[in-house]
Amino acid sequence: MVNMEKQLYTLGEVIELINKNQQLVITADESLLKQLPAGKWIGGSIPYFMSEEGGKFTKDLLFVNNLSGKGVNYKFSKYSSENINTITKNNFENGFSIIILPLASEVLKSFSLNSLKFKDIFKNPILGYVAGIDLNIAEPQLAKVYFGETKEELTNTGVALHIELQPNEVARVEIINPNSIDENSPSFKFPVTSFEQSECLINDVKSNLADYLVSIKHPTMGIPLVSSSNAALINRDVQFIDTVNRKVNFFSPVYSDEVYRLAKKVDDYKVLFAEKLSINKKEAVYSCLCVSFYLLGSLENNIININGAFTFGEIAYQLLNQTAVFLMIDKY
Amino acid sequence: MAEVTIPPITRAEWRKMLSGEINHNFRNYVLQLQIHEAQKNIKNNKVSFEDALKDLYLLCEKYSLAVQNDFKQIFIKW
Repeated sequence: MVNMEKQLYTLGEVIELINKNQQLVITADESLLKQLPAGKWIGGSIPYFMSEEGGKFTKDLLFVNNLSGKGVNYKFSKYSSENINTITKNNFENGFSIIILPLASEVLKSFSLNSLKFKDIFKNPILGYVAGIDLNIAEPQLAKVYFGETKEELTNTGVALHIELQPNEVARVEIINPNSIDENSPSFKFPVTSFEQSECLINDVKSNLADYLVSIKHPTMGIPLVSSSNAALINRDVQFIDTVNRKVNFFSPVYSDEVYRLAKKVDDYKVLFAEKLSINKKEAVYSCLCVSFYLLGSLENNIININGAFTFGEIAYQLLNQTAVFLMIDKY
Repeated sequence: MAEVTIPPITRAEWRKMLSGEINHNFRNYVLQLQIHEAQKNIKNNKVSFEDALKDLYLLCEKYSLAVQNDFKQIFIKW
């Protein structure tokens, strides 16, 4: 049975949903998002999806999370790097917020460096994703997000849909990180919280991270640094190693107050997801997962137990990498 | 509404969870994060132990359904 609340639609079908005043989170190639009318929706540019038919790259269909009827009230908002810290104030007293931030933007940088320090950050779930690009296009591209109410296309602003739940409902975010910590990895500690790292302590010895990763022939993709937050494994994915300047850039900030280790190499993402995805995907109100899984796990046309966009960063109170994010609603 | 309760904040186990004396790995993601961040903030004097304890209790109260299995292991009965 197809899940009508989370699936791929044609442009015409999405326009129809918008015209019916449905509250939507829409993910698609920007060529499609540009054509949508104003309405109660937010969107982000990504052309990679896990649908009922399996992993898919498409510029002809749009992935829609239809949140109509999920709450008793809703509102939309936009955030810059200066006011992203106010997102928790805009949350309803009981509810959740879905946020989309553009890849490589100042608002993403501000959110990812500071979100865990926002007042009341854990009071209600804040989740969503980082909008991205078509990886097949060699020319420089900008990730786009869309604010449906005013039909704006944005590259340096975040957009959010805030939903208020009934008093007997509680929204809960869960994550699945298919990686595990390689127990043979040395420990890594960093002097500053930053997307870029160089000098650090490796097994408590002053070292250079770029030199070390080159020395072990680190593949860049697929083996993140991992920290444990009370057993929640948090990945920090290497973007590139700058051998000339002996620096390493990450897709999300590496924190000075965490201890990191390398992840174990994953041999088969499909098998691993089958083991770890115990959540019934039909129970998840919203879900998304990392585009790395699509690329590394050869998931094109293969089905795993999750629906959603393959994203360029997952958000669950903080920016995550190589992770799947789910929103569940518990009824009391 | 289902009858779901959590143990009173006066139970010693709450303090032990926060201090790390009880090293229980919650299954629920937000509680994993909240405890981890609270432990760091207490260590860095950014929050008092008592305030962190209240915050933890309030969060567990909110997620009382999701924490039942964890609490049966930690508190056994209440």
